[in-house]
Amino acid sequence: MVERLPFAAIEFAANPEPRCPCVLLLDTSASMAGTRITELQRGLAQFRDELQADPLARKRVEVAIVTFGGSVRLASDFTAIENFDPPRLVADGLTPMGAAVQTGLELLRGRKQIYRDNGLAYYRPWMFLLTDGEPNDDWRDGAAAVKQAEAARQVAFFAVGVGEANFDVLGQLATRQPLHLRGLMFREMFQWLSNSLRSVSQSGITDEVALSNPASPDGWAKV
Amino acid sequence: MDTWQVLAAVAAAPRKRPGPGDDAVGHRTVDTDTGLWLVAACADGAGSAALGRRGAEVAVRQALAWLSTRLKRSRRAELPLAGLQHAVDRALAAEARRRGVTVRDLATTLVCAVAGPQRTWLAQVGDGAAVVQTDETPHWQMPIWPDRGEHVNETQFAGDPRSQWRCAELPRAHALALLSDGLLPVAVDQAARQPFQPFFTGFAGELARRDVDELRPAFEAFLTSPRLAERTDDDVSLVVAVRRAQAGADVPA
Repeated sequence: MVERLPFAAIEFAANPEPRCPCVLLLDTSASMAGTRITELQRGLAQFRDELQADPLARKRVEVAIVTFGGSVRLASDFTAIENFDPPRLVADGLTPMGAAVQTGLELLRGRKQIYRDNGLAYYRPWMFLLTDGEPNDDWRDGAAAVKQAEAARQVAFFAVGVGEANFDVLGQLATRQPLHLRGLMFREMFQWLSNSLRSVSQSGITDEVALSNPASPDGWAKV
Repeated sequence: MDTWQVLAAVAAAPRKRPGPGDDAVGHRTVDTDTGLWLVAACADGAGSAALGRRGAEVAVRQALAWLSTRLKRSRRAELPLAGLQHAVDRALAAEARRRGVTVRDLATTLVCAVAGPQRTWLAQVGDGAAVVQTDETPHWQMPIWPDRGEHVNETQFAGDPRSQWRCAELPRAHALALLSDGLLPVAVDQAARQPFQPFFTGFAGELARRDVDELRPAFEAFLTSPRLAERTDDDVSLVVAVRRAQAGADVPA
């Protein structure tokens, strides 16, 4: 009879994986039509592929997508990355960015409640806003809500502008400095985002995960 | 007089950067007029801190030294928590000055246990855990829930005056364990907010039967086992101690 090593059969508790929620707020207004929306769509597919390839991130990262083009739409409700299928994006209409931000924050509040009701631990949620324009609605309430949520550490909010985006507004929406996408480097941006979420979703007790600088000379952004 | 059988080890997360990881553990027994005491500590340097591992080592060393001295000097069976916090914070501040860094660069969690002939004391800051089996019940208890704030990757650290240290006092311990947060996914039933009993019983059972030296390789192998790595993504550290009655130990040879 083979004797097992002591401790080889120590029993483990069966706890659910902690969740790492991320909301993407994507500008799908008319100005995004053409290459921009195509590249964004490709970037999303890559984002999914990279996170799905990571055994822990695929169980922990949950993504929701809110689009704002003409109206604010929940294009994809929260889903674990292993079941995530990027929605087809269509560019049309104006840019109700303020309402989109509010929708995103509301969505996060609801998701956290579900986590709490089910005894699930969770990481600080991320919200990632991407736009090539400026809001055509009143965005000040949204900006105030983001500031409040950031101050309470309820969310980490990132704003990324493409092309001629209004960086003055983005600077007031986000407490972090908004980033300016180099050209149409959507895929590089999503690669950074998936790497960052992977780091966060695997962090232990770190209160701040050191993220790679997207505005480094070979990064996807400039500030 | 009783003795303590103690196993203590750290292991680095296999997925993180190579190296020894950021955890530190330590333990010693202190012989006093009131009997034999076990003092143990376990610390987890913050991954976001430049010198987290060094902070963990300093915190463990200082906690053990300070508690031992205190036990030897004092005949009273109590754990003065405020003094411990002050001593650890001071040691971290001194280390920071010596290295020309900020205390934040040495950020670490810390969990300590002092097991005496009559009572047991626990003290901790951050999201480690101390689990105790008293003489009164076979049920392992965790009187201080690991402090994680709202989000799992946020906690409090030694060295920060804003951090809240927490403590607990229990009856005499038969066995105890200290662990870093890397083991929480397998050692604690999150929904029930209880230690996962079979995890601790498994270790204590072996320690009650066999000698520490015989068990040490298997203990270290456990902490680096693929089976554990599948369930956690962090450095892990574990101290397990079991009291053993030593017949005739009081009689001089």
